[in-house]
Amino acid sequence: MAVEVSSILALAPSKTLTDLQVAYKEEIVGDETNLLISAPTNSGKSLIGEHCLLQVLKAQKIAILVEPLRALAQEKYDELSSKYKGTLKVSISTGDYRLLDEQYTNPPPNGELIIATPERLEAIFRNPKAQPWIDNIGCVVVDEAHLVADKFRGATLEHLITTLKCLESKPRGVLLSATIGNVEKVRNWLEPCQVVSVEKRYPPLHKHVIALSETDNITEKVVEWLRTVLLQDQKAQALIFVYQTKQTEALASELTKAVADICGEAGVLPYHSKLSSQQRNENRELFISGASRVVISTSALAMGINLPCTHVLVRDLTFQGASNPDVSTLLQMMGRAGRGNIEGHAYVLCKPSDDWQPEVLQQSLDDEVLPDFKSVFEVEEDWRNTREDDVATIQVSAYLSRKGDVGATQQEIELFFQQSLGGQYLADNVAGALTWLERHLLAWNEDGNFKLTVLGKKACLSVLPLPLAYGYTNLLRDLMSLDDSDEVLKEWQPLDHIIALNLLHDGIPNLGRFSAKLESIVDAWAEKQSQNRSSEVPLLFKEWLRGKKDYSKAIEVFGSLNISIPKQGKQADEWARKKGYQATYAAAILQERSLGVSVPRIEKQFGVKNLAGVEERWRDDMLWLLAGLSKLLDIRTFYFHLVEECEASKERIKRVKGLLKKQQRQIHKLMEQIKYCSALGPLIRDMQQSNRGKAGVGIQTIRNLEDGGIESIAQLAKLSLDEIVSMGVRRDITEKISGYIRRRRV
Amino acid sequence: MAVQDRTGNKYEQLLAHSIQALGYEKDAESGLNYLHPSKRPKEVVIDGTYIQPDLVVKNSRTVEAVIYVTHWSKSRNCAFKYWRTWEEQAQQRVVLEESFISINSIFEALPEGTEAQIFTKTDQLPIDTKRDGEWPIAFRGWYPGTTYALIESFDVTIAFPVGYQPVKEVVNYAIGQHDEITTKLLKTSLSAEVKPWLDGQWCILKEIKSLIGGLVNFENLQNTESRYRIGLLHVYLFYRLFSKLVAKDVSLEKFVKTLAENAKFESDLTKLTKKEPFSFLTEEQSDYFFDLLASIYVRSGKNPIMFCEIKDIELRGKTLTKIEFNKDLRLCLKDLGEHLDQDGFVNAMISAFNRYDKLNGVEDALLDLANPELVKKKEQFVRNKFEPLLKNPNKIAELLEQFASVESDDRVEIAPDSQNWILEMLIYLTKLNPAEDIYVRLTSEFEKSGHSVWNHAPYSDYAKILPIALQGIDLCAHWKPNSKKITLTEPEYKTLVWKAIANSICNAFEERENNFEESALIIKRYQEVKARRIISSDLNGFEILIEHFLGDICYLSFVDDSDEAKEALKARIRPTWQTEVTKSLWNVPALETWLEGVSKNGEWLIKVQSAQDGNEGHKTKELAGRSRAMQLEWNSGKDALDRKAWSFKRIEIPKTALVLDGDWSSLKKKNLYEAGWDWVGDVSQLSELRTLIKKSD
Repeated sequence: MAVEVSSILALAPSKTLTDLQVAYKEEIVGDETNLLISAPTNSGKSLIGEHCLLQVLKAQKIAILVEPLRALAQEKYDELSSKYKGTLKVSISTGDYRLLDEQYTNPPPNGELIIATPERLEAIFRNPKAQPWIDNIGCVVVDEAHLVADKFRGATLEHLITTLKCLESKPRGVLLSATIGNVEKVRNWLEPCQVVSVEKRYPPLHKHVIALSETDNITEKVVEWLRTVLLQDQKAQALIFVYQTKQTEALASELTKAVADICGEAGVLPYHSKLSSQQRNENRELFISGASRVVISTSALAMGINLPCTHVLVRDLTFQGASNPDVSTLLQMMGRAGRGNIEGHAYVLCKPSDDWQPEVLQQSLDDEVLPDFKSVFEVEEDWRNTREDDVATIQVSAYLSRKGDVGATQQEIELFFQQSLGGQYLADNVAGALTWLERHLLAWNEDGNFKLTVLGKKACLSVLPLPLAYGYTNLLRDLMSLDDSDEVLKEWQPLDHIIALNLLHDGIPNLGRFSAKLESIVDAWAEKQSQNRSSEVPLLFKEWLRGKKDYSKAIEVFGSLNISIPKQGKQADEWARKKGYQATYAAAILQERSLGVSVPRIEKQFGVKNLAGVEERWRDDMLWLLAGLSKLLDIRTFYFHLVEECEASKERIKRVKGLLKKQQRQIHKLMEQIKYCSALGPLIRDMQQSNRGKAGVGIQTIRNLEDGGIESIAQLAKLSLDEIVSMGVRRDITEKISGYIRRRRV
Repeated sequence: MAVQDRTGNKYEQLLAHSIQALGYEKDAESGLNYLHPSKRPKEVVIDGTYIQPDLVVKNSRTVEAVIYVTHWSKSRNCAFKYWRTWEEQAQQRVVLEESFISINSIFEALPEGTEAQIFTKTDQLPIDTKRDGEWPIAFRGWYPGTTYALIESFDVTIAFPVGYQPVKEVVNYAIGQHDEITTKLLKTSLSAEVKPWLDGQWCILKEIKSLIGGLVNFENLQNTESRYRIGLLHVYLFYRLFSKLVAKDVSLEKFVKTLAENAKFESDLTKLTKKEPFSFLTEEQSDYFFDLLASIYVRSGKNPIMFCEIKDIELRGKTLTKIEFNKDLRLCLKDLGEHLDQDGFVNAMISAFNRYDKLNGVEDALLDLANPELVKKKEQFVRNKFEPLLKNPNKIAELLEQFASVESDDRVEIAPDSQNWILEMLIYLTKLNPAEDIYVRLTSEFEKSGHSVWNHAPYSDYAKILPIALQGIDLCAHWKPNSKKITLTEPEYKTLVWKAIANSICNAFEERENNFEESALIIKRYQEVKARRIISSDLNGFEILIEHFLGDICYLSFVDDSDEAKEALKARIRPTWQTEVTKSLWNVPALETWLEGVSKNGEWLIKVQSAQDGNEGHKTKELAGRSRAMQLEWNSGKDALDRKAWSFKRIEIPKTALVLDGDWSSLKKKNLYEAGWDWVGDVSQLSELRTLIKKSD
């Protein structure tokens, strides 16, 4: 590393420091204690974080910047890798399976400064083999650290910080947080810890409440506001928050028409979670370049959005069916207004039907009562009502994973959780979590010392949902008990993995409700599969799921997968049947897509809508799950069951081992297809592997071949070199492909 | 089970709005401020206490008042609620240096339509005109003695009427709005004086707490997770039913051992049924038996729990059947498995099971469960007799009265059960819900006769008429022989009751336009109720262990009935100062604490407590409160009404041991120790308790 870090001033691009940075420079003694930086948006926290990170690189230590979202991590990576090009190895590690070939719990292979998400870093900590890497961490900067209170991500973030705090190597922890009212609490938690806290916003943020009357048309009011803002200042750019994703699209379209003359050539753009990351990046670039002057986003993205603007409008104060935004959430959105030295202006529309009275809201916004830094477990919510396989169980298993073969007693685990911010809840639930893990064959108790089983270790290291890992392997165990000839394992189809995952995982997108039409589409698809020589009907569907009402045996699969059914009797049978059809429907769609069938064609064929909007995340989820699943399919996972329950002979164990390997290969092939959405995906993977990642064959090669009508490796094998080149593939790459195919006798 | 719901939050909101209106700022660190903290139990805002207060009113950092927000509807167990609320105050008094005002706001306490009021002494309560003599009223949902204790033991009590309208409006309050009446009452309460005559008790309790710190190493306290009470009831049902089905003597030891070894989590049922004694079942019996167990709801409601779950998966002609018993049974089997080899343990179980057998209705229920043909006969009998008559309530009443007699020939011919299965089946046949369809009509149907239900119903509670009729108990069994209020003769009352029940059933059936239930569903419901009758009985299997470990050195209320034991066991009833106060003021002794055992050397008192479903938290508060109060002696001076003359001193009582069953965290145990229990532990520690008791000889 050849970056000057003696003073933060050396890092500041304009060689001037903000008030916060001055305070940091003057007040912070030494570079070893933990640090809390509490300040509003735009006050220069990031540079302080950067300074802390760079300081440890001198000592050959690893520096890690934790960003809460992948998109933010990517932005930060782009910024820092460009800033330190040639002087510093910056790498990103977010566990994005579509983009990166990394094992989720392995440390990233290189990089002095690593940008990671909390989930990714927490996963690495689960891996006992990563200990030398962990011991070498010098500093971890956690951006947006106040998100420990976040309902969805807070628990992981808190667990991560607690883990860092308890590491023997004591890396420096630096928390960058929005302004908070209780810095002492954090100081005590992270002791020894120094604090720099600034409350005043710079540049100033002007907050306004626009009171609407019963007769006001809201869209007209938005148009009126926007027109005024855009006309007043040629450089003004606005960000409008609404509460529903679908409304971003609708409003963007309406506003583009209404202010077409002044909103920029790209029009008013939507920015929400259902856009693909590519679309989001494009829209972001268009906004930053000024081609668009207005972006409509959802309040859910308020934290993850980095779109510098001058004006913000919060359109909705009432969220139907969800909890309404509180003052700190509103301030989070409004705080996006203002950039550099330009003052921000933020507005909230207050309707008579909203819970707020305009003057009270204005007062609350002006008072800007500072939120507390608190654990998600302290937030008003009854955590005790959560399921047994809840966050406590996940975190206990993560802790045991880190302990490897040494294991830990209940008391040791409780002591660890007592070190966390609000983790007394977790400490109280350790006993229940351990029972759950034991019951689901994920952990075992050796005279009071708890250790993960092979299944538990593999599930944890793959960061698989624990009920999923148990459910899937339980199904296989049942089949092993039932079928001592292992014919079922032999007949297992790639799509069986997908169907089972669809049934087990909550995050699979809902592609359509069950209907007679969906049922007939699935039946017709299965019929077609059975007629097609190269494909077969998935076994799960053929043996259990298929069938009209009262004829399907879907419920049996649900029993083996250990999925609880919210119905009783005949209703339970029908519920399971419908879910079985939906899972098969989704699996069929994913298969088509992974083979390279275009989204519009699939949408037409299967009658599904908005596949493009959900596909990217779905594929990413599926790749994560499949990667984990392939790890579970190891003879060691089933050895005890085979020996103790099935009384299996050595020959049978050997046979099962071979069949599980075959399933692993199925999964790897499936993953390549899903990754590239092409039947040619496995070709890339194999060639990359045999050339140590330097085959030169990439997604563009695949797209060129597909454009030339090639849909399988077999078709490709029949082409001459010239024919491949004529499709736009470079000759040297063509030769490599051809040679590879010849050697592998494809 | 405690009656607690989200409404409590509305009551707190109502009070919080009023506190704000009085100039207190929420969560401010200086000036007048108040806390309305999250209910999360581990983030208690008053250091050193275990119960999150509802509202704390402060001036800067000094606590001026603590407001307790209470509502209760079940007089039967209002003492539990009293102790929980009082314990909360006691904890705060023990740790806080400052002398704060305790304000107990009790909602739904006064008659509907009356005004909310403040009470500081019981003399201020209005006189109850319904009772003979000069007795103050009781709050709704509270017994008189408990009502009096509530008022006397807090500085101020604010009682709100049933259905207080502003509570409903509170959700719509914007900032700054408040209920003026509540605000006024709170203002008065906040300016009230702390009752100095109660102070003495807190000093004693502080001393008890500080002493225990030196005697018990809290670091070593372990969590308890056991299910003896509920688990043993499972085992009892399982074992007795099994024995009846196979119709032979089955070794209890063998039965439990096989289960304990094979029922850890999911087990292969086919393999289990190949092991003795389960191999005694024929295939048909096995199918019936395990299917029946799997259909038993051990706990109903939002998150029902079944006795066990059975899963089948079939593949090409082969079936794998797996069984998983519920957690209560699994945990109990695990513990039983660890004790089976100990001398006398199985005998203790057997004698406990023999006691269970004697419980009213249990034998009938087991017969019904073991004999589906019998249940079918019962169902057919009721269907044939009653179905054609549902439009003729008089005839129905006549039949019900006729069959109510256990000597009724027709009834005996089918089944000589003491329970009134005819009435039960009739309710299922008509698809009626006793609470929604029958109870609500019963009073008016009865009182059409011009006679008062209140004067005749068992314990003056109309809701007890139907359960007593269903249990086959004499409807007049609870009458006081010389009661002047009874205006009917026994035969007249019985006829009238059957008429009222018949009218209620016929009217509800007609109004609901119900069809008759299918036979299969009636049988299923009937059997479910029988199973639950056993599982949810008051029998405490947990006591087996107490008897096993301590039976020779202690008199135990559930074991001994010798004269010597009866005499010694009198010491287990411990009055509290609240008992003495309510007795002295109004001659209503209330809030005694009953323990279960007394050591033969007289040095120890034993309390056993089983709890489940998260109720351990409530029980901890209650038991802590009881313990503190047991150790206080109250002196009234010459006139009990002269409260300034009241004083307290520590009373010498035998050592107290508390044996727990359920999920009890180490923190809860710490709370209990600090409240004065001398030994707190679970079954796994009973040998330790035994040693302590023997040492004290």
